[in-house]
Amino acid sequence: MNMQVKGLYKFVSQAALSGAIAMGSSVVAAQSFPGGSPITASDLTATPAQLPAPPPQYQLNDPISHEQFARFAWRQFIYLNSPTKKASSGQSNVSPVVRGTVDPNANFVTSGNPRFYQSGKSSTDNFSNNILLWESYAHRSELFPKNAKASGDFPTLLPKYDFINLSVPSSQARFNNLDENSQIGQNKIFFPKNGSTPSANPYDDYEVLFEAKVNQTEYDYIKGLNVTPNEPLENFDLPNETIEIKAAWRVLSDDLAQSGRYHTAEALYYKGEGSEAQAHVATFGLIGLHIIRKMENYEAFVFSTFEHVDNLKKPNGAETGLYFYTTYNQLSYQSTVSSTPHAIVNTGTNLVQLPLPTAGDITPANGYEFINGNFTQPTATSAGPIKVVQPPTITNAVTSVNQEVKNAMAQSKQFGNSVWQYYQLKGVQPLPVNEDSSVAGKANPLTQDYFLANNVIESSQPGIQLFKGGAPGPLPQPPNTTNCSQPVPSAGQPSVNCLPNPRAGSTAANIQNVPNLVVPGISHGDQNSIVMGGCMGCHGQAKYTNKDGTTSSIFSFLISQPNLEGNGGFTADPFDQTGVSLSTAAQKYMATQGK
Amino acid sequence: MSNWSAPQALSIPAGKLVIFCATHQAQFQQQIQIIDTNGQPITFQTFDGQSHSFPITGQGTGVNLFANGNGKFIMESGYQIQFRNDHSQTSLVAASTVEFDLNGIVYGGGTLFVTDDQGGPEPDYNDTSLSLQWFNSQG
Repeated sequence: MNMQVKGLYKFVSQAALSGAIAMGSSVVAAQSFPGGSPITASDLTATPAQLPAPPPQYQLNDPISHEQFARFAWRQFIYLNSPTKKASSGQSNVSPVVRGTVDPNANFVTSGNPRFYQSGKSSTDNFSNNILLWESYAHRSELFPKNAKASGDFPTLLPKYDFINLSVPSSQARFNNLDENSQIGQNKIFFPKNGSTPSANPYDDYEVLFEAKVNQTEYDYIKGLNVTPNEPLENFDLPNETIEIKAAWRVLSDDLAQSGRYHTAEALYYKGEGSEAQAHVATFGLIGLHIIRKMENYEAFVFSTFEHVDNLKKPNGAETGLYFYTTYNQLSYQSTVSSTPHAIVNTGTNLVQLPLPTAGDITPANGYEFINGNFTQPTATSAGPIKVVQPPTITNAVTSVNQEVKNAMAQSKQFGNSVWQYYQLKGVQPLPVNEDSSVAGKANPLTQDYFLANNVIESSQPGIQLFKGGAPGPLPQPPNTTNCSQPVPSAGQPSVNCLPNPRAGSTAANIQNVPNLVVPGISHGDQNSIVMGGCMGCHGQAKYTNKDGTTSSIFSFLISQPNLEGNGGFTADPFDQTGVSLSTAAQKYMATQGK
Repeated sequence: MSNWSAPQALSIPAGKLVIFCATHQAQFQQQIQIIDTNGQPITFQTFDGQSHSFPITGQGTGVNLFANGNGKFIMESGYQIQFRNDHSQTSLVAASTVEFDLNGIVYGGGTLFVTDDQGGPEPDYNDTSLSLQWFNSQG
């Protein structure tokens, strides 16, 4: 895109955002941001795709538009979903692909073939050599194996997974490893198998499973750290160009598997509790993808997320019936939240005030959209099934850029059979910001996508969809309590599992002591009182306790002191986890993964 | 009657003359109030839930518009606005604000509010429309 046209676009965009058209004003010279220029067919077919350069520093007097950030997010998606370079043949005990390196001879068109993964399989190898770039990244259990430190050579590392509860040797491994069975411990989410009505037992339906991966920049940084047991680092600060991925997958019905609408791949999943856990393999369809990337001037990471277009509605318009069970049965706001809790959403052209569920039991009367029927609860303190809904949080800028990408795909004439035409950007968060204070005011352009959430990765209101503030896990409580404030019972199945939801005041500030963080219009000291929402706000709760006792937001839930010391690791969650095991895992999820 | 929606601060500078106009096309009764810093209503509008014709607007005495203030009031700091309906759900509220400025000085502006009483399968924000327009009252 030439700069003249880009500059004109930027001027028009600024006028729309400010709501004021200043006739006769001169065009502001735009900062160079190639990653924010309109997406064209050549972006989609570039061989190989390029990771877009970081955005320039955000300037209040020359702001980057949300459309530009949305295009940047799409360019990252194109790059990360391009094929990984194949390794030289004939080497044993090394990865069949050069992990973290994009294939110089293939592109986003190649990986969009519905049989991309399958066509890279041979009868003699459990690995396909047709792997998306992000799929080649290190799984969290490779970054932090059980009681060990990462030590591999990232490009050639042959996947094997050492969990706390089991190990998967390379001979049985796959690149995709779905070891998480919940939405950060808060919900378990399912697609009905029969029509759009949940089965009586949710495990008879199609459960959504998750995995987290990191790129070589993070892997090598962690590998290079020398952490002495019981001695915190001076500070922990992931390097720029760190990328983390969270992916959501589902088992597809035969019809969906043959539909050509999903990127599919074989993946590991787990069955059985504790030491009984065993790895299994099935073919899954990709339905959600978080991409977070740390860059100069964007020290709180840039968060973006993509969804499959069929998650809530089928191609014929019928509802899929996507539903979830919470792992808690009570919700509490802190006293500073008004008696009519609400969220203010910035769509880019207007502000929307949305009521949130009221405090108390998780019931229809308190604002949850329960599905009627007789159902088996996963635990004694879960609630559901609750229908997944989409609040009006999608910005006009993102809708516009999604259409721009569809137009570019049509223009290229190479995406007619591509699975990528069925994925869409949900939103992007470039910088931390406070929620707009009133719908009857002028919106801050940076609050667009403030409540960023993926419909299959963050689905419950206000727990993680329409989230802001603090993110503690559910707390077991004695009977007849109402505000999550009682001492936690020592053990066993609690009768109440209460989710605290701090949304205002100092207890809700979630991004703290981030070195080099620059937030336009906010002094470095005041940055510690920002109450961010959505993905970034939640990840701001991931903290590291420095040597001097201060805590810093590190935005990665994978990092913990035991993990850094080589005394940690992760547990592979069985997909059908129930009862006390599930309640306990839910209560500990944020505590063990975020601190 | 539903709960009032959470009060939202009006971002209108104090001293501005505010005029307003409301329409509605809803099965349920709709109410709007602007409250001062003490939570006391300065206007209270009730739109008849049986009036399906559209628009209901103008000087509107037949629909109990402008019960206090003849369709205008002087803005004072701290005013807030909220909505409700006689269905069971709290009204969803959306708004868009524009400002009119010259040489960096804000002379006037307006806010358009729309609400949905959640009486249908999906919010369509067509139950109440309220516009506030404001400008300098002297000069």
